[in-house]
Amino acid sequence: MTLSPILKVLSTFRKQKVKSLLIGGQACIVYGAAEFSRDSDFVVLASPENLKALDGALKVLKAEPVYYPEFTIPYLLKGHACHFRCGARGVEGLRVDIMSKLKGCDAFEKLWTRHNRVKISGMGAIDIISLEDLVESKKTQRDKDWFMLSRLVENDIFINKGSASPAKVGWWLAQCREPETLVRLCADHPGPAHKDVTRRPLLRAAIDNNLKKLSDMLKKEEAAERASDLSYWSPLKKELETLRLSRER
Amino acid sequence: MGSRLNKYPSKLNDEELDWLRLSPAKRMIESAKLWKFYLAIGGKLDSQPDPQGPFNFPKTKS
Repeated sequence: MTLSPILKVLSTFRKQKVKSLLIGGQACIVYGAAEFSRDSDFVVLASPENLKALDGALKVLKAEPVYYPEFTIPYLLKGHACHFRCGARGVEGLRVDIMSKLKGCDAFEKLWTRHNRVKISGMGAIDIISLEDLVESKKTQRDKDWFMLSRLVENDIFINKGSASPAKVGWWLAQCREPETLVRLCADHPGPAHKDVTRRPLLRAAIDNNLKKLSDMLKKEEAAERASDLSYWSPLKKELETLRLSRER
Repeated sequence: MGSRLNKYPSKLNDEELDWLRLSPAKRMIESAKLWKFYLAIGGKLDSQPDPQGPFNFPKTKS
């Protein structure tokens, strides 16, 4: 099988034994998003051994760092992303973005315990962040992430219709962002919906089939998450700007 | 149960539903096929501009 640029990167990571999870747009595709993403994003274990393995993989891919900061454990642990552009044949120009910490998500070790593994014929297994953690990581300041988040949850409801565990229903009630779907979920699962009102007050509007109020509350919920994302990145962006200016002097 | 839950979700077209019916591995492989087409028509792998992203920084001087 001729591997696509993304599969080549994944295959290289696998061969070099990099402990990483696929996140971002490529992970969204695995979970049913119909999109075409041109870069590859990973969350990795920030340990000296793993970064050595990752360094080996980046060498194979002839990946050069772009932007800031430097690819070091302290920067990764602070929450920064390290960006690379590949130069090897078949992956020329492909961006590889590496993080070890995702805003709003647990530490890598916890993400690893929940991750999914997808076996690709002729290539091997790909380790992918769990849907639940992927959705959490999409609560950013970007419009496209909110659109994607909503679709991922809707897709999961469709895929698992009729066979959802109580935990899955609870997750849908906590994450669903489509007013009509939320109303239907609450009608189909009144017990869990009433129980979860304290956790997510907008479920009261869904139970009452008050679509106007529900839409307003969903917007407020999203605005709060966007504001939290901005606050999270503010000191990191400042640090990057300082680094950039000091290097360009 | 199945027919009741067929109400979810309401906004997907037939093509999207077919895509969802694929296994995760199959989706990955089908997506890889799109790459072949994309590169064949001269598509580049440079990342898309992302003005809302937290990494929206000016490019470094080489």
